[in-house]
Order: sequence, then C-alpha cells, then structure tokens
Amino acid sequence: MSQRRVASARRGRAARGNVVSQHDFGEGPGDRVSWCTSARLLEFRAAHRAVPSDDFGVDLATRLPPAHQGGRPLERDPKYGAVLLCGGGSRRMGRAKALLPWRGKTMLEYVIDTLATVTDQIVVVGAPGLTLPDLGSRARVVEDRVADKGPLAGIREGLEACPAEFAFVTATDAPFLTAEFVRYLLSFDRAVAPEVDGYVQSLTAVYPTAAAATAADLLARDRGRPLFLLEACDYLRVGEAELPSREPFRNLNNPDAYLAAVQVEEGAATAEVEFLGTTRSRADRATLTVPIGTVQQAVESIESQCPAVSLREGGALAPHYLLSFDGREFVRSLAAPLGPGERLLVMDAAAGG
Amino acid sequence: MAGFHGYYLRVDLTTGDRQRVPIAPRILRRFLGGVGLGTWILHAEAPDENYDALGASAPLVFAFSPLVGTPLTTSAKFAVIAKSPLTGMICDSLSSSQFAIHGKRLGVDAIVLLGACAAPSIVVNGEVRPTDLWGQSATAAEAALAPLGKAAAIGVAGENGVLYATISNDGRHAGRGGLGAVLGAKNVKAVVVRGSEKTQLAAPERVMELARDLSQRSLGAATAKYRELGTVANLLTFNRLAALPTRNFQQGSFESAERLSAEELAPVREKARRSCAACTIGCEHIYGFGDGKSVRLEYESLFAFGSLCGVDTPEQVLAAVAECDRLGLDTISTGGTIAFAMECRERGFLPDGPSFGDAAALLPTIQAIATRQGIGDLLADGSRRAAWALGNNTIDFAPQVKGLEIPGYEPRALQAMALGFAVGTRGADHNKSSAYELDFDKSGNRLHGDAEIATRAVAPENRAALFDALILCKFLRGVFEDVYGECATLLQAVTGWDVDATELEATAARIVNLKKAFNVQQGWVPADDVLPRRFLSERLPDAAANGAVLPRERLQAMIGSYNLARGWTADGYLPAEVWDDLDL
Repeated sequence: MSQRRVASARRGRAARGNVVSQHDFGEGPGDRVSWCTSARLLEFRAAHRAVPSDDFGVDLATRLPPAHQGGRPLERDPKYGAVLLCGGGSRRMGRAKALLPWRGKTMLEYVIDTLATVTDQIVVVGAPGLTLPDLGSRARVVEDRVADKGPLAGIREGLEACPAEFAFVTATDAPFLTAEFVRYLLSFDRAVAPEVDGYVQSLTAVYPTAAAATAADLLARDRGRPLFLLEACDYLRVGEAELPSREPFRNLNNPDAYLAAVQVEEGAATAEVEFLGTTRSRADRATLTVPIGTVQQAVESIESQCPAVSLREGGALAPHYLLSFDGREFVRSLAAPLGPGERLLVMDAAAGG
Repeated sequence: MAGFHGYYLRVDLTTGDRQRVPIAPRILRRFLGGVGLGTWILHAEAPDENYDALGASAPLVFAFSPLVGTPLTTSAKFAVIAKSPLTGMICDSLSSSQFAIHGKRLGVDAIVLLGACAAPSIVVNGEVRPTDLWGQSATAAEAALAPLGKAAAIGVAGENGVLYATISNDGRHAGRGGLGAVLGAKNVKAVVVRGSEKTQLAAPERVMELARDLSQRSLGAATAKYRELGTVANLLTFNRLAALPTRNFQQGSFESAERLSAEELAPVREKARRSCAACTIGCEHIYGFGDGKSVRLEYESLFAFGSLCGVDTPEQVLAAVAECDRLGLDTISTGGTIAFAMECRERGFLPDGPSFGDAAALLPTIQAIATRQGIGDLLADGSRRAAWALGNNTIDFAPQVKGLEIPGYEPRALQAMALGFAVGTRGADHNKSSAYELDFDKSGNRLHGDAEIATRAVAPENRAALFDALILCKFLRGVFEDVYGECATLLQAVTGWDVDATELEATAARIVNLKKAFNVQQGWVPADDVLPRRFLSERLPDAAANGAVLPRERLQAMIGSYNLARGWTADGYLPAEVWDDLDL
C-alpha cells in the first residue's frame, strides 16, 4: 500500500471490500472490510520514534494522536473512550476472571488502570448479577440488561453508555493489554479490528459509539456476533504483521494458563489459608501458607498439614464446608486457581443462628 | 387424639374465667401446632381489625405442638404469638425446654390470655393469682415460682412496657417483638404450668425408633458448628464476608472482630455447654465474665452489643447480654436501638446519646431503657419510633423493618436475606425467612439479589414455617435429606395421620399465608415491605462487599417475584382463593 493509501485509510477513506485474503477467518471476513498492509506498521513505528519525517508526509504527522509522537502520555481526547466487557461466565477458569489477582490488583482493576492511561471515559459492562469491585470514579459500571445474549449485547450496552466518539472494546481477561496498543487502534479514528492467527479479534477492537443502535438492531434480528457489527461499521482489518505486538491477545482462559502466567510474573508465589469456625480449632491454627495453585492443591496441602481437618467427601468439598476467595466469591470449583497473595477462607456452611 | 389434646385453654384475666375450647381436628391437621396453631387461635380470638396490641382485648397465645412430649430431639418447644406492640404486625416467637413439656401436660394444645388483671398477678395452670414478684427479674421470678411449676416470666422491662421486652423461661427467651410488654400490659408477671396429662402417641415404638435415628444423626457434621462453637461462630465468618453489621450498619466488617470472636473467646472464657430439654445438639455455650458470673452467648447478642455498637471489649459485651437477660430485653432490638442512638449522636441529633465504642455506656443505657428513665424512655420504644421523634431523616438509618430491629445479617452483603427482612411478616427477622441459606449457596451471588433468588426464597421460609409448627429446632435442618418426607414420617408416627410430604408442603405455605392474612387485617400495606433507605442507596464500603448496594427498584422487583411465587398478587395481597383456603 502506498503512503497515499495509508493516509487515506487513516481518514476513513480506505477502499471498501478490499479483502486481501479470503481464507477462513474465525470470525469470518466480511464482504465489506478494509485492509491495511505493513506500511501501517511502519507508520506506527515511525511515530514512536517521534520522527514524523517528510518520508511519511505531513498527513501522517498531523493526524497521529499525540501519544504516537515519541510515546509520551497521550493527551486525553474526549473523542476516545473504552468499553470493558465483564460478562463472561468464566466457566473454564472456574471463578470470575475479573477478580483474579494480577500484578497486585484484580484483573479488572489492572485492565482499567491500563485503559485509564489513555482515556477517562471507561465503561465497564457487567453481566447481570455479577458484582464487581467498587471502581469509584475510575469507570462507569453498567449492567448487561439481557443475560446470555453474548458479547454483542455487552458491546451495545457499553457503546450506549460511552460518551466518546470511538470506543476501544476489550474483555477483562486481557492482562497483557498495553496502553500503547490501545492508542494504536484508536488512532485510526474508525471501526478497526486486528486479525490474529486468522481470527478477527472483535473483542479487541474499536467501534464507533454511534453504532449502538446498529448493534441493537442486529441483536433484534438474532445476528449477535460482534463481527456483524464491525461489518456494518465498515471496519478496517489490521493484519497481524502490522500490529505492534501480539501480546495483548494472550488470554488467560483457564487455571493452567493463569497459573503459568503468574509463575512467570511472580515466581514461587504463595497464598494464605484462613481457618474460621470449627476448622480453626481442628487445624489448631488460624492460618496456613500454601503455594499458589488450584484450590484442589490448596485443599490437599491443608489436609496434609492439618490432619484433623478433612474438607472433602468423595473427592468434592464436603457440604458442611464453604470456601471463599477473600470473602468476595465462594469457591464453586476445586479446579479454580488460587492466586498470589489471596486468602482462601475455610468456613462452616451452616450460616444460621 | 394422638399427638394433640384437641383443646386450648382460654383465660379471661379480667374476670378470672377459664374455658377449655375444643379445636376441630381439621384445624390441627391444616395448621399443626406451634406457630401454625397459635396464629389460627390469634385470628379466632383477635377482637377486630387494627386493635391495640397492648390493650386489654389483645390475645396472647402460648401454643404447644404435636411433637412436644415425644422423645424426638429438639421437640421441647413452644410458640408465643400476639400482635407485636413494636411492629403492629404479627409476632411469633419461639422458646424451649420444660415450660413446653409441662404446659402441654395441662391437657391443652395452647393457652390464650385475654383481658387484663387489675393488679400484678401470675397465672398458674390458668388460675389468676396475685403476686408480689413485680419488680423481680424473670430469673428470680422463675426461681420463686418453681414450687408451683415451670414459669415463663417477664422482667422489669416487660413491666415497664418496653416495646421489645421478652418472655423468659429456663434461661431462654421468646425474645423478639415485645411479647413481654404484652404480658406486662396485662399485669401478668408469669405464666406457670404444671400438668400431668400425657399426650398419646399413635405408634410409640415407631416414635422411639425414629427418635433414636434422629438423635444419632443430630450428632453429625451438619450440627458440628452449633455443638462446637455455637452460633457465635458466625461473627468472624460474617466479618470476612462483609456481612457483620458494624456501627449501626455503616460497615460490614469490624476491625476488632477477632477480639470478640468465638475462635478467640471460647478457649479462655467458655465455661460450659448446655442444651434445651430433650435436645441432643447442645448449642448453648456459657461464657464467663466479671467476678465469677456467666451468661449464655449467642451470635445475635454478641454482634448487637459488639460490632453494631463499635464495642470491642468482650467483658462489657458479655455484661450487657447478661443485663438484658436479667431485665427481660431482646438483645437484638436493644443493641440495634442503642447503635441507632450512637449514630444519632455522631450526627448531632442526640447530643445526650451514647457514642460508638463507649463500652461503659452500655449498662447504664440498658438499665435506662428497662426502667424508661431519661433517654431510655425514648429508646424503649425502638429505633423506628425514636427516629420518628427525632426527625431529621433519621428514619433513613434506623436499623429496622416494620419497626423490628435488623438482626446480624448485613442486607447488602446478603441480599436474599435482605428480601427476607423486607417481606417478613414480623419485620426484620432471620429465623422465619432463613433466606440466608441462599446467600451461602456457592452457586449464587449474595451481593446481587434478583428475581430468581427471590422466587427461591419461598422454599426456606416455608420449611421454617413447618419447623415452627411441628416444632423442631432449625439447627436440625441440615440433618434431613428430605425435610417434608421425613417430617411426614414423624407426624405419621405421632398422630396416626396419613400425612405425606405434599400435604406438609401445602401446610407450610398455608401457615405463611395465615400470618400474612393477620397482617393484612391489621393494616399492612405494600409500602411496609421495604428496607431503610441506607441499604438502598449507600454502598457497603468493605472490600469483600465489592461495593454492594440494593437499589430500591431491584428490591421491589425481588419483592414482586417473591409475592407472585407465593401465589399472592404482585404487590403482596392475598387473592380470594388464598382467603378461601384459610377458611377464617
């Protein structure tokens, strides 16, 4: 693609339907997709070197968002916002991913803090019934009004609530997302989605907030895939080679992936078990330090080091006990991970009296 | 008639007349005993709509149950039922032990007191006698009356019309809703029973067999918490879940909870473990304090004078609990009303009130309440009336529903329980709803109540109604695998009825309907089913609560779902077919 073409794409005038590759995409390439070549990456890298030289033309230098000029903190532009989706059931993880510890915060807070370096206009879309940590003024929290309608319903809620013109949309399990990457996608000033491993990444993409009505229309017609909204927005597809990094697409969807990532980040981290009620006298201690791992492994450690505490019946947690992650969430699956610094509460299930 | 006598004893305190009133077998079958039978009698004896709960015509019912007198564990219980002077709604409180056994041996299934004595009196086996025990503690009165029989008595608080005074017996209390004030208003210090008429059992050997099995099972893991630590085990757990009401519900956790916890206190202060008569569980844990004194400690008392008042010294908390027992005060309402006064002082609305954390103020304030002296006269009417008197929107943080102070379950952190408080027929009540079980169900979200959980809240409330009618202790609930089926088996053996689980499920729901019907007749309106504004608008600040709040719209949606699941109208009125089924 020529320099002229790149600049044209940035202004939202890229040729429509110019699909370079027709292979089978995960989300499926739409008919009306703009494409961007490796020249786009050159632009980005050039911008980060803060050398908007004549090689790239005046157009590039003037249209790049300020942060692209030398990687300085982005001057906040009310034109840009972010939507963070927390609607997933976290079934593979066995517990709410939003509340997993990550780099000293919850995953949700970590992603919000990343987004907050780019924009103040952050909307968190929670699933009905999901209670999120108190985010104060850092983000506006809205509830996905209709349960189990998929991510497009959440995107619609987020776009509707976001006061910006364009919103970077991501999910909460994106711990490797960087502000640089967010700025990169927002800089296109249009609907844009990366393609990675042959899949259009519709949950790490930019949508115009005006598309909320279109999303509602699609949902009404049972066309609930986010890609349909991207297509309706005449989105720009960014190839993998053009992306500044693949890291943001590393999702932590299951306990193994999460624990492996934590191991890399923090090494031999530990968690704490706190005994409450009858288990404290049986354990003859108030707390026990265990290595991070699954809850199952923590329970094995407890039963091994405190033989009088027998928490399982037939391999499952005995019905008269309850476990909780720091009091925020009951343990639903022994396969769920126990993260670094977390406190696993061991308590009696009988609550009355 | 096996399991029942088929009569209740009506005592007219004004005239001294006594009457054995027959109860139709159909009524016993449809409402069982305890709270079910007692509420039916209340309906039958209530003078009119919207009567004065402390007036002479107000009935006060002591109701026994089919299982009393059997060897079935935890069955030695009775219910006291009346219109509450605190709430203006029905009040059904339970108590245990020998009074139940001896009362039923009078040859009746209930005792109803009507009218009022002209002078301080006692009622012995239905006979009104003058007494000089006025001014004594309930415990002292019980001891003095022991030669005559087993007594249920009021303390000074009941004599002085404190609206949350208790009726006490055998160291236990029919504690909530001010039934002690009702008895006091009738000028009755104590009701004394001693009978010899045993109830027949339809299948005595089968009952013995079932009793042995139930006793054995009652010693398993499902009741371990109650046996080993008692209900006080709730405190530290609730604290970790941001569910421990602290400083009048401004927080859900208390920084000094460890100091007050059973885990810390029991090893150094627990003196003994006791049980009610005919109980194998033994949940009563006796704690020592002061110079050789001791008191039975329950979670509700511990939280009420501890975290709720911001007091972190066990010595003073235990002394406050013992003082309430001595004076005949409900510890939950006493602690809740004092905590309310503390917040009023903090906000400048009650300059003479006690302060949060002022342990030394507890005893004088409790005594002032019981004697209605000074500020105690204001607080003796409960937090709702105190808020009405103080104005300044203090009602927004008065910790009550329908006038009954909220027990130790933070509504925002336990939102199924919050619904239970809002719709509870006797106000904010944990024992009749049991909805906290849904909050402690790991598949749910205790921080976000919704219509689905509201629908599910019907089942534990119905089960509680069944337990309160049989009567069995709710601490057995985890012992049963099929509650209705197993309870039907017990009833078959005791009564000879061909009752089954389906019939008992309908009976339980009918008893809840019956209580609601009483409230409707006494002026209940849908607006009564609400929580104080604090819970609807202020986020719970504790980390474990994730900023939980229960907006009014969501609460109303939950209430609507609950009402419909009960077969009521969406706003909570009983449809015609329910009235027809009650056949009042």
